[in-house]
Amino acid sequence: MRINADHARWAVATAAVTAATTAFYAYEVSSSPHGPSGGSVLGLTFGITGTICMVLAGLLAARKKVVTWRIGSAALWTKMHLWFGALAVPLILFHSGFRLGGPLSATLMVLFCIVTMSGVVGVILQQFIPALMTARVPSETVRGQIDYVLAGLAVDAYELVSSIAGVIPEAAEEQARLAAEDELQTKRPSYWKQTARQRPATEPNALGVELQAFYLAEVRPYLRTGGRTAPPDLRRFIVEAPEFRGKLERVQNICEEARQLRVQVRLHALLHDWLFLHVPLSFALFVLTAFHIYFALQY
Amino acid sequence: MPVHRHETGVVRTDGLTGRWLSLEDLGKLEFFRSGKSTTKFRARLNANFELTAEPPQPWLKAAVWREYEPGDVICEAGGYGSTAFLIVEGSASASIPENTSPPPVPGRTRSALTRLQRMFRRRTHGTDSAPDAVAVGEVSAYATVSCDRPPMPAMLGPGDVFGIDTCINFYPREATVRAQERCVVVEMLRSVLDTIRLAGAASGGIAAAYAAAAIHNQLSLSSIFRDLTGEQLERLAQHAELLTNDSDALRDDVICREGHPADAVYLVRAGTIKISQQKAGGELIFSYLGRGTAFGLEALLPGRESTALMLRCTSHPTLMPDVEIDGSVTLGRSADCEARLPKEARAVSRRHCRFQVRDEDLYLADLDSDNGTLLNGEPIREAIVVAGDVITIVDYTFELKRVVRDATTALDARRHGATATGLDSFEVVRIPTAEVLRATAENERFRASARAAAGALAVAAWQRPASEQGLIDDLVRLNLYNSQNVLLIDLDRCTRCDECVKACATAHDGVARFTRDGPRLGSYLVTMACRSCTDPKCMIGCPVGSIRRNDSLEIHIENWCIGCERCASQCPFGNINMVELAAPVPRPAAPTLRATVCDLCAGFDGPNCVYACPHDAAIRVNPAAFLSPEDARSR
Amino acid sequence: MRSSKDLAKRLRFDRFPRPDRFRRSYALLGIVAMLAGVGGWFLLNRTMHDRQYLPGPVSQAHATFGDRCDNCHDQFHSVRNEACLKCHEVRVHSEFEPRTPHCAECHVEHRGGQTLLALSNANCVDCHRQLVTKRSPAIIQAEIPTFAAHPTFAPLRAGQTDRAALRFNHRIHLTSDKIAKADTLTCASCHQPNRAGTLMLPIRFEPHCKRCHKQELQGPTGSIEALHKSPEVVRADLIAQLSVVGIRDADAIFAPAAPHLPGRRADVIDDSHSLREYQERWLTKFEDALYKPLQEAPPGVPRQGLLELNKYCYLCHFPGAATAADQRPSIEATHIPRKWLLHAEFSHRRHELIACKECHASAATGELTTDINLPNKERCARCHVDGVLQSAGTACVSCHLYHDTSRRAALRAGRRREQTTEVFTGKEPPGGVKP
Repeated sequence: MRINADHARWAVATAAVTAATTAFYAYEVSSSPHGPSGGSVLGLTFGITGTICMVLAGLLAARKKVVTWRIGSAALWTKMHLWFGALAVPLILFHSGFRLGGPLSATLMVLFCIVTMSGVVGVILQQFIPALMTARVPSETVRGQIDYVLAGLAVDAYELVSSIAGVIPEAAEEQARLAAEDELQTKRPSYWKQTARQRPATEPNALGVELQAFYLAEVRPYLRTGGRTAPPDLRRFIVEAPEFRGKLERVQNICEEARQLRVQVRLHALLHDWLFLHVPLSFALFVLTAFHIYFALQY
Repeated sequence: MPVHRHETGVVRTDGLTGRWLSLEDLGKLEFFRSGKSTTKFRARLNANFELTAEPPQPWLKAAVWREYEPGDVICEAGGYGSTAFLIVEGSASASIPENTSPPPVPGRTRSALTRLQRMFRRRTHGTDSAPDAVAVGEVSAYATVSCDRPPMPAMLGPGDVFGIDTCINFYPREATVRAQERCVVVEMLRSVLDTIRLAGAASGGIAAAYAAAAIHNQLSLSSIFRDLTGEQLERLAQHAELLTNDSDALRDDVICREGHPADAVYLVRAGTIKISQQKAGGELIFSYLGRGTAFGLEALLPGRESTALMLRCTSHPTLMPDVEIDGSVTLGRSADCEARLPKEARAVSRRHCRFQVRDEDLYLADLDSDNGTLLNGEPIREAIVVAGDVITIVDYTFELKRVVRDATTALDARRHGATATGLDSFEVVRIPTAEVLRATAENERFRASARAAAGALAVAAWQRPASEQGLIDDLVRLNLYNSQNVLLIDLDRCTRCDECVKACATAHDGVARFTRDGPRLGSYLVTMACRSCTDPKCMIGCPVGSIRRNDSLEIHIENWCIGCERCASQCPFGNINMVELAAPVPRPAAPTLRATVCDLCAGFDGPNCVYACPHDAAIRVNPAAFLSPEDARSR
Repeated sequence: MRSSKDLAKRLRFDRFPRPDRFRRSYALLGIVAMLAGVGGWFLLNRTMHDRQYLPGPVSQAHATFGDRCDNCHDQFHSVRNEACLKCHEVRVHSEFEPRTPHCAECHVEHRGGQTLLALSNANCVDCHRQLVTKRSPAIIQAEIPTFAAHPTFAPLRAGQTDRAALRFNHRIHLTSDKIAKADTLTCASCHQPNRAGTLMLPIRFEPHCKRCHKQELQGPTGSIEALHKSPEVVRADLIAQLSVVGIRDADAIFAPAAPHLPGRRADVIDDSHSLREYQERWLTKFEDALYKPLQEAPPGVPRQGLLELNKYCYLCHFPGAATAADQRPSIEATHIPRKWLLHAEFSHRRHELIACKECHASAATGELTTDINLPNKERCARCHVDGVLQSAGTACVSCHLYHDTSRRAALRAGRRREQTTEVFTGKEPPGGVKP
């Protein structure tokens, strides 16, 4: 979530509560000869409020499961997640007295630190990566459809190239897809997404052979598996055959678009991968917190 | 009126019963059989409904046979609907009531329990809602305005088609139609009406009647012409014509061109008109005009008179030619008077009185004459005079008259300041300027109000600064001028988490109603979600009338959609998707392909996509308001 | 510029967007992480048993418990006093304390370290800031938040005197010119600390007083020294000594010294006819001298003149209860206090760098036994200052122990060894913990 002026009230409230708890903690440190303890009254209060903050923050996942319930918008709950999670940090640190304690509590502290720090990393990423993606990927599309779109682009490129160079037998998948489109045309004539395809050229032309070779050597592999490297350059073909300028430029654009979509995949991963740490470890954190609460109270 | 469909063929609406008409039934009606149009009509009908061949449709479900007793209301002014009516037998009267604002929307008071229940609603109330429950939401912007002076009721007889405006444009009914005697009526959806109109046919009569009614209504309801008498209105209506995008008179949908003589005044009845100028860098668009606005009023601008005020001697017509009162005019026997009377008119002094324009008013001042000056019978020293006043000097009577200048010269002097182009489908009433000027000459009040209106429009038109050009370009490029409610996603905040789409799907039985992709508007994404167009293309030609608006802005596709994909292919933005959906209860069958569209989450307190975005990135806005200069500056 | 419709055509409509397979694994990973957490817990349970819940290392003294945490810990209850008392004796602070605090309030475990005791004044001041006791009125000052507010030491309060039944004049002993140079007395001449350095050893006659205050009586042929014991023992000893002298010096005592003319009485030291008579005669003489009541100095004569007049018991001692005529006189027990500050532990060893007269200045000038020559709190406060970094500290525990050791001197940090051993070896289960 982009932190902006809407968060002012939450930030101020969190800061105020942190200041108050710091004062309490300072009092405890000064008044207890043996140092602060998680089991003292104040220590328990820190622990309980810290756990409540963590639980409230964790409820965001549950909230997202029932988004249509009108119990506060998702944005409100996300703000709550951010700021209650932030508030849990000083509370838990004070509860622990900045000590790791025994094996169970040390594990908990480590998990807690990883979860909160990964969350902080996520928030930081959310401040600038969306704008970066918007700027770097003008032809952005839905992440889940990128494979389909790339396949569609490959077919478009084949259609364009074959309309100049004729049928290219090596491009079997693209041909199969075009055939499937034709079949769908007969089965579902009203299909509104159907676009008219250009037919492969029937007469040979000078450019055709060279273009076909270039297509098979560079363009097609680039579209299928190429990374984020620079797309193949068709300018010399445009110079050679100005009459095909429109089509060749479109092929060039298709390559560029494929490159951008792969950039999108990367940026999308960067924006979301921190969740792999954040979400699963928070599950573990909750389970072990439950254990900790039970056994700490037991003893 | 919302229609309940039952498989037995009986249709119930608000207690009125009717019977479905099949293609054969329609063909049997005399109306459709008359003239050589029948073959064309049937051909067109077949062509239109070819797509319904598979699976076989026993019922047309687009036309209903109804019978009314005398006094029954066939349709009510201000009501919503999607049908037109054809009178087969009997007669009815159509009247515009004094106040035709739509019925008030019921309030939002709900008990606490209901509110709690509504919090956990998971799906929109599509066909579950009661047909006559008004949705709690905005009232359509197309509600008819109230009219000070209702026109006389019109009588409708066999062969008359009414309700065309509502059927095509989904505007509320303009008039209340009441059966005078026992009436048989065919209520039809747009698909049938379009067939009739497009057949050209018996459409000769229908189109003319429609145009006449349209012109008459538009003139009656326009605020510019409110000061006209009924007679003057009639005369204007007779000379007016209705221009649509189908009109042959228009080329490229250009209604009037910049620099051409301003020979007509135009009232916009439906659709959107683009007002633009051609500048060195390209086209400069000033504004988009919608229903109820007017343009082409240059001839009426104040300060650029096309009429003249003449001083005429009525008692002795041959004594003095008509003199135009322009600036300063002195009346007298002296040789240097502009209004010169011969030496014989002894009663008039050498310099008797003077007409002077001061502060836009015309003053008549007596110049210490021997016999004084009478204005409308009253002796004056100095007074303001207007056209129609009578000035008497002893036994000489003069009158101030306003006359129209020579038409051609008047018109040549006035040219259109901008080009008006109709967008998509539109309807415009064209009134020749000459007739309007005649009316201004005869009716002072009308002249004043028309001048004021023209001035106001001119001011509004020329005031738009160049910095807004970019915004207007966006509106045009993305076709946003037609859209009323667009889902925008702020790409600088969106983390591409798809929560919006998931929430939409959750709220709509697992099928999302929009796609999180689309063209960009600055740093915003204009999603492929229904834009609630002013002029919805999707509704054109639905063979079964399942796509329509009910009582508010959102578009619904009812569950009798037959999956012909016409709406999906007609939507210019691709916002309608075809999905395999399970058939509704009570007759479950194999899933069929049906169209789905965003319905603005009608059963919820606001759209779920906006509600579910965790990053405050999704907004539903009216694009014109969103892009307005004030908003743009503050963003 | 592609229109919305073009973009729509290149996509495949997705009813319900699902994240890719990779990301759908969040929930699965979550469950795996949970199981890992639980598994880790099980593993720790196996290897470390309950020690995995330790918030910190156990103190060295309790390390022998291993992982038998239930020796001290109850289920869902903080450590009860009964658990400590299973091995440690009951310790009392005061019978008047309003509530019995938890042992764990001051003895904080799980901080590691050698002892369980690291007190700050806060623990004491918690109650003693505004003391409420069961006895009313309280006999101790109700508000002792700091050392500066510490009340006057009990022996030095008004009305308190040294009630020892012994007459002693510090000033004469320390500063009199009658004492020979070689015999000059210092504090350390009589006052020596015990081995622990806490208390001074009792002053005894033989090592400390006898050198100058020999109880020499004039016997028949020389001086006979009386013991410093009870009158019965003195009498027995004198009789024995007389017997010995009588036999040893019989000639000198009983035989005439020079030939004598007949008819004239012989000139003998003692003319007793029997041993018994001899003993009685001399015994009476001795006891009269010994038990001669104190002769006060006549007016005008300085005090030290007492020694001139009085040499024996009643110079210092006081006569006891009146006795019958035929009984020996009794000497009142001296009741010299062994320990002056009953509720504090003062250690002379820790202060051995300070000269005696720095604190016990009044001794050099005190002449009365009733003088209490202890320094007051103000003297201590010259070094033990609240809140000053360089001060010797004002921790309550420097002098006081919570657990009252004044009445039972033998009470140390004793353990009931037998029971503890049983607990360690597991023979006897710790009482009342496991269901």
